[in-house]
Amino acid sequence: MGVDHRKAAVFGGALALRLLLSVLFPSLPDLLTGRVEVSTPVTSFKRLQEGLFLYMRNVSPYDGGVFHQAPLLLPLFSLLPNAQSHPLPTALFYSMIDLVNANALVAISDSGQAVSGRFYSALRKHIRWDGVSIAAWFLFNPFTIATCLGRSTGVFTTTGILYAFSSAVTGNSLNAMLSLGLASYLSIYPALLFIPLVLLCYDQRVQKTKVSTGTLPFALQHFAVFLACILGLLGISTLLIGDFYTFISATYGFQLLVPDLTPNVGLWWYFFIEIFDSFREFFLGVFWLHLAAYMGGLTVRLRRQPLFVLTSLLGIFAIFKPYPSISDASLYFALLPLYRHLFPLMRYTFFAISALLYATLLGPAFYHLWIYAGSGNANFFYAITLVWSLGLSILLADTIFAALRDEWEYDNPELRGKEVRQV
Amino acid sequence: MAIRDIVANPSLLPVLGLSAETRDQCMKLLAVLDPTADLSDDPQERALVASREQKQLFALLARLRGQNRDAIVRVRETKQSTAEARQEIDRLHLQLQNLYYEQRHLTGEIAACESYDHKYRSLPLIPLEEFLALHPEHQQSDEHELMIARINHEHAEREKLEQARQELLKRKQALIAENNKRKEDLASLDQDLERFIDVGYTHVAMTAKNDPQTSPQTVSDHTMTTTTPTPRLPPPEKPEAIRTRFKVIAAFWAVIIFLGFPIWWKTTSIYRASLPVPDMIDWADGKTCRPVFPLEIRVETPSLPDVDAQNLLRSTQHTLDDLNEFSAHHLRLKLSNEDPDQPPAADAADTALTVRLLPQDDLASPRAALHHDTTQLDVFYPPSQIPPPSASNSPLSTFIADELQLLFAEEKAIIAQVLSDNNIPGAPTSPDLAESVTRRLRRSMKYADTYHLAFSLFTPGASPSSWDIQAAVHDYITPVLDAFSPISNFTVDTQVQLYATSSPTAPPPEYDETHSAWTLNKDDLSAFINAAEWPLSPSIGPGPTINFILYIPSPSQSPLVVKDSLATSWIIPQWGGVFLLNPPNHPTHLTKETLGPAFMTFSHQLLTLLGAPSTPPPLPLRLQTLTRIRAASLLLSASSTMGSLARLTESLPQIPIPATVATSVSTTLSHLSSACDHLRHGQFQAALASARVAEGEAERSFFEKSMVGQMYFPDEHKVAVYLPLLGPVGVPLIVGLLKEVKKVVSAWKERRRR
Repeated sequence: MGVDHRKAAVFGGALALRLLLSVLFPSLPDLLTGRVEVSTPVTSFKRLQEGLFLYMRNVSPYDGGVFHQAPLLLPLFSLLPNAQSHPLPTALFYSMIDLVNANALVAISDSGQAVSGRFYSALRKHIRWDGVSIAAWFLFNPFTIATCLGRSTGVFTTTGILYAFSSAVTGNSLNAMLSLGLASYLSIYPALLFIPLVLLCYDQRVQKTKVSTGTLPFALQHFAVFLACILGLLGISTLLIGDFYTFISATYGFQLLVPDLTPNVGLWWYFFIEIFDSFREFFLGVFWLHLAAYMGGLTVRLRRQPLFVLTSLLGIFAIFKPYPSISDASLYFALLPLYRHLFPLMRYTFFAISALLYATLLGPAFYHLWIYAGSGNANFFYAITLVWSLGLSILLADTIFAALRDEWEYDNPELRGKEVRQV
Repeated sequence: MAIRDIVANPSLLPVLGLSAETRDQCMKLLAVLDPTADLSDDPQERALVASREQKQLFALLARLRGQNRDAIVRVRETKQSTAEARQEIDRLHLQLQNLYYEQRHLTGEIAACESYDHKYRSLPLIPLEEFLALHPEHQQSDEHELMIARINHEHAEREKLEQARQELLKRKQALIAENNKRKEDLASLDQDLERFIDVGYTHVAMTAKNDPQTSPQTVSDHTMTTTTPTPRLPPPEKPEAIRTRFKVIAAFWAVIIFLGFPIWWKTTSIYRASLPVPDMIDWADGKTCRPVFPLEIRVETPSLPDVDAQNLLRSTQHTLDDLNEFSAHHLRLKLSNEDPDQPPAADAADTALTVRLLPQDDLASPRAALHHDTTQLDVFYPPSQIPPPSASNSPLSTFIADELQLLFAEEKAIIAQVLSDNNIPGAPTSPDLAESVTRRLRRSMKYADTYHLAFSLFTPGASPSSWDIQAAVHDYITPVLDAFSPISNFTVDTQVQLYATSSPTAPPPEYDETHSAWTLNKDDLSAFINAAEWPLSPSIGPGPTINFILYIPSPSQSPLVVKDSLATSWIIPQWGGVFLLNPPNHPTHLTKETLGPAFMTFSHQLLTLLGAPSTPPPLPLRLQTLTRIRAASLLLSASSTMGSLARLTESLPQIPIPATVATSVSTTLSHLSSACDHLRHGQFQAALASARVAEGEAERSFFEKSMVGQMYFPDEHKVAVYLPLLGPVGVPLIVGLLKEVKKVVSAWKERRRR
């Protein structure tokens, strides 16, 4: 029961820290809610409150043109007391969500799927952290804490994704599909995770039952479940809102067409401010395809490690999705320690971490210079977001390199420990 | 030398003989005739002898002549044969020469061949005896064949040797490479061994260690014997790895081809709605519509019998037609006695003028009077002047025709001007009239759908600070605006500006003793408005602004007038009007009555600025004229806009044409044709309404925003748009694809070779 004690301590500490922060600094949540790094137009808590206000007064929440989040969040939040007058219940709720996410992480880690799968078993298995350490790393990550205090609704997507993963690695493929359906319903891009996730489920199934049916029927079955889940959620939303097209265009249309160019830590906003209007649609397509194109290549190349494909895709989303925030980065960072055994193979860790720290520290400063002090301009902040993306990209490329290296050594045991050069 | 020695030809000898004979005969004759010889002979006999001798001489001469001729002919023949013979000889001589040359050349060649030193002679062949020993079958062959055989033998030997040399060279290269590799191995071996030792193992190969001074050959021998050679190259890729790579590249390219290209095609293709370009060009060139202006003039003859009236009408129409030189603009008289009581309904607005013929007894000649508030012309005539039915012309009809012609002269000139500005031939107008018309057109504002009128009160001091502007505008301006409402829309703004000083650069007014007034120089009027400081907005909304400035001079400079003319108002072309109001005893409030003259002037200025003609004086007539002018100019301007749009879309094939533009164009064209029809039927109000719609739509389609945006975007700029992002993304993809394709092609070739 020692492990359980540790887990309880970590979870309790994380909960206490969050509540303490919001009690000691009552203005902190509101400050974080307003930060562009924490809340994007599609995850902002302020916008959610606006939608909630309209919803409570029986007005279509999308009428104001401010709220762009999934309609099912509204009844959920209408159960909570007003966040303005009673901030504690909301804080408690968000903290609980974080704990739930951490719990899913523990499950993923404990399954050991990260180090050995159906086709493949990492060589440095012994170098790894246990589930509680990974949960602690996630729970005490400042990015996670900031997201939690900023009450970004992105955490629900995170929950969906993490539960999809944990269900998949524990062999519960139906639950995985339902969770992924929820995540895709909340924000579209998790749907891109479907194929690697199905492969992960399939590998688990084969590993457990030792019966290998065809991949395709399995995938189709699960796709049907996935689709049914999304359609069910959309159906409920339609019942809730009434006008199907209004809410589709206000939520998914908004996420796909990126009309709000509020600055964020991503790469899209500046580009689409500058682009000639006649090319806007074309480059929207290019950017989305760029985001989607990695899925096929990575899945094929790292077929033996589907969970790693999922992790890397989350990293790619954190860089290239239209409205990224630090909550996306924190999800990627949460999954990275599962691959502790790859760390010795990474080459640019220092550089990547310094770039990320640099961007983290200078980003708010440059944003202040631009927006409030007026002594800088948009390029200041954009340069920092470029550095941030660069740091993430280096980290991502480095981990993928390490994973490939690991696979290569697995295939060529006689060459273990040799210098390699990329050609 | 006697001649006989030279001439030996037998054919010439008779000639010589005959000539000698002739000479003798001559001598003989001479002797006979010699007076000194013998005088004793009978002269008669002598004469007889002489004549006989002479006859003989003549006979001889005749023969001689014939023979001479023969001789000459023969000489000629001889010459010819000589020349032929000569030619023959020359030819033969030349042949001989050639033969000589040939002979010499051949001798030279033979000598060269004989003295040629061939390589084979110097070839270091094996000696004959040895060769014969090797190949005894050549024992019997002659020397030549023997030599050939020996040379062939030598060639074969040498080729064999060369091959051997090449192989040796290759072996040498391989050995050098091997040597280098061994050296490297040796170097790495050192490290390996050190590591080996560090780990703590002992090994039999210890002897091979730490011996870098020994020659590479021995060391490599050592390694060969003691350790298995370590492969430096990575192991060959497994087929699954190759297949995986192929799949990865295929996955990326599938996204590009099946999603990327359709998106590119869909989002960057330019939508070009089809436009009726030929129609538009035709409109612009004036081929579709020739604006005509048939003005209908109603003639009322309450006191005339119908027959007389018809007659008068006909003759007047004749006179009018004779007078008119401008076919597009003509007057049509119409008798309206049929129902004088019933007010004409629809056509009333389009009736240009009503002529009422009234008899008056005490007149010597006809007299015309215009009503000031209606479109009516009263013509008073002495009853005696009613033309008899038979008369084709009468003073009365001539008078009416002249009067009408005069009334519409200016309108005709303006329309001619407008048409000729658009390259439609108009009527010749007198230069004076054309000049005044051009000046008037230059002064008036450009046509707009909406005008903003801004009335401003400026005063250099603190008073007057208020004016009764609402009432003044209502009384003086609103009626005009109402009258103009079919032509344009108007908004009215007013402002009062106190302490409005004139600009420092403007010359101050001077005091004129004779008129006891302050005067402004006429040339300085343009500087009167202090454009830098007075808040006169150039545009209040869409559409031009017409400014009217009421200036109250300060009490110290009152009254203020323009020098010489003593006028108090002037017009600023295409901008507005100014009025200097000098109210008595400087009130703080300007009443409607005080403002009256100023606003009267303003309404006149407004008419001028809006382009109303100066004649004929009654306002309704001027408005009607303006209606016609505006209809014509709008029609033409919308047509030319259509033409410009058509040319624009044809010359820039990459600009998009949204569907709204196509709709606008078709609306424009339909309204243009309806306007043209209305004009032809003399319905000018309807024509103006259609032309306004057409103009508005034409402008909207021409200045469509999405078209203008693309207009300045040439194709080469697209490179700059695509390349910065797609270039870096595309290069690895394309290189990967090329590598893969190369590999597939080489594998295919390999398979074919096998």
